[in-house]
Amino acid sequence: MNKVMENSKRWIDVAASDDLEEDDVIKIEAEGKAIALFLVEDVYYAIDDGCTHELASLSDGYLEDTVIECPLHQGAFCIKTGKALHAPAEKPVDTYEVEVRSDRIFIRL
Amino acid sequence: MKLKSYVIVGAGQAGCNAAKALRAADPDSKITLIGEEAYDPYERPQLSKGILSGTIQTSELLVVEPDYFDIQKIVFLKSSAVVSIDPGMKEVRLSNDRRLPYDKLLLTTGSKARQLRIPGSKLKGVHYLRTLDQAKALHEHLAVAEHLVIVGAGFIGLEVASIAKQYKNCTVTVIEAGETVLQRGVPEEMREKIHHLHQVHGVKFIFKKSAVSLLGDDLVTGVECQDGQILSADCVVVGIGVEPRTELAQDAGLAIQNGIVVNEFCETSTTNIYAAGEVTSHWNRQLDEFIRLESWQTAQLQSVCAAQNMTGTPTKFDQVPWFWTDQYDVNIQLVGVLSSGQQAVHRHFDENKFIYFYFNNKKLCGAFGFNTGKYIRATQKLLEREISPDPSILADPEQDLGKLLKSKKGP
Repeated sequence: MNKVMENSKRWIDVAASDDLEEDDVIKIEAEGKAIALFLVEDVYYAIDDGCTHELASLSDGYLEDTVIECPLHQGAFCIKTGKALHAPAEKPVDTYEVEVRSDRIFIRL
Repeated sequence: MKLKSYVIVGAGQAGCNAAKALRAADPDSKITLIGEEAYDPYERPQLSKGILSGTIQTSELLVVEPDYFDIQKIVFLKSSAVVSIDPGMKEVRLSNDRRLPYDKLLLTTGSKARQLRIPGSKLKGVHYLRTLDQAKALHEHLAVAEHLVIVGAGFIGLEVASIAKQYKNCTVTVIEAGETVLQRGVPEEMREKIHHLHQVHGVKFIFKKSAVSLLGDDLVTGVECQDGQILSADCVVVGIGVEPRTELAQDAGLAIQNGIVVNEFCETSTTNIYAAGEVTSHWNRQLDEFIRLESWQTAQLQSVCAAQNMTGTPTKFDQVPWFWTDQYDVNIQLVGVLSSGQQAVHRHFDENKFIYFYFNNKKLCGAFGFNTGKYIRATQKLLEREISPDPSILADPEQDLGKLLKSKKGP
């Protein structure tokens, strides 16, 4: 990745750690982006909220383990890697680094 | 060694997905995909949604990238019609008299729109909605139409009504011979909720009346009802259902019963001929009978299942039926097999977000909901695993269906 781009990334406070329960997903907005934030087995994950197949919000989808399914067509993505796992989704979604600082959740954008 | 030759008749979503799955399973085989339309394979759900509203591009419908067939060495014959199948010779004949031999043949011929057979039904301004060309023509006409009349209150008619009300400036009247909207395979609560949704948006309904004639000399100007009432119309959409395209299969002697009959391995009654997608009449575990499903799911999944069977990996097609429609800002989904007489409980979030669960003697049969895709999916998993939670648990918005599944995941 371009160095300037990399440097221009910064950590952004997006939620409180108790905004999510275990096996939960919420939608957050940061820097004009819609992001789905997950908590699975005590680990937080962040991916783009928009399905790469058609316009739909992944945070409205069904979460099982670390797989989120689009609520419209059941295309599925790995929330750890962003990889498309199940048709009709083929393109991956972007993932973001997540850090918990005290009781706040930060993601790197 | 002679390479295996697969021929697929019908290049819609089902046919194209089958071609992909065949190529993945058998990299060296010869694959020929034959379709009547002039386009690359595309998905149809958006024809009555994004294409009609003009909010999405044709390229977004494509099942594969334009260079896919070249890269994968799949012969794709577009604008080509198959006129007959000879199961004895194991070949299909095209309209240009060319013959193509096959080792395994797959029929993914889909459905065609049922035609309205009344006087005036060939007038200009009378539309059907099954193909991309038809969707584009209707999109253009709706931009200038003043009075839209829709014949038939099924899913297509209602999706057109919702797009017309959201994006166009015309009056919308739906005429339906039945007593209410969505007469087939849909529970009463769903009919009521969807009917109400359209009324709120200003769609006018005329129930229990048939259209007997379309009026006009060249362009349509009106719709005459059975009691003589005349509805002014400069645009008419006919949405009175579809019929499976079984002609080729029937002529070739395959068993037909409300579709091409296939077993759970997508095999027809004739050796080496398979069928997949909404043209099939296939076994449903939940109902314990053969059904034909006009849905994206069947096109998407049964085709892949057929390809696996054709390439020597026996795979059963066993899906809990699942369906969606988009109307206004509501994504409506239905899962399972619902019929009258089932008991309903519902989980309410707000006016446009709720789900109804249906039971038959405490056995979960399915659900439908507005803007509740996640809960519908959980219900589908409950049905797949034959888990029937207590109705009061399903009705309680505080209960997490995912956790319910997790706790009953099996040993």
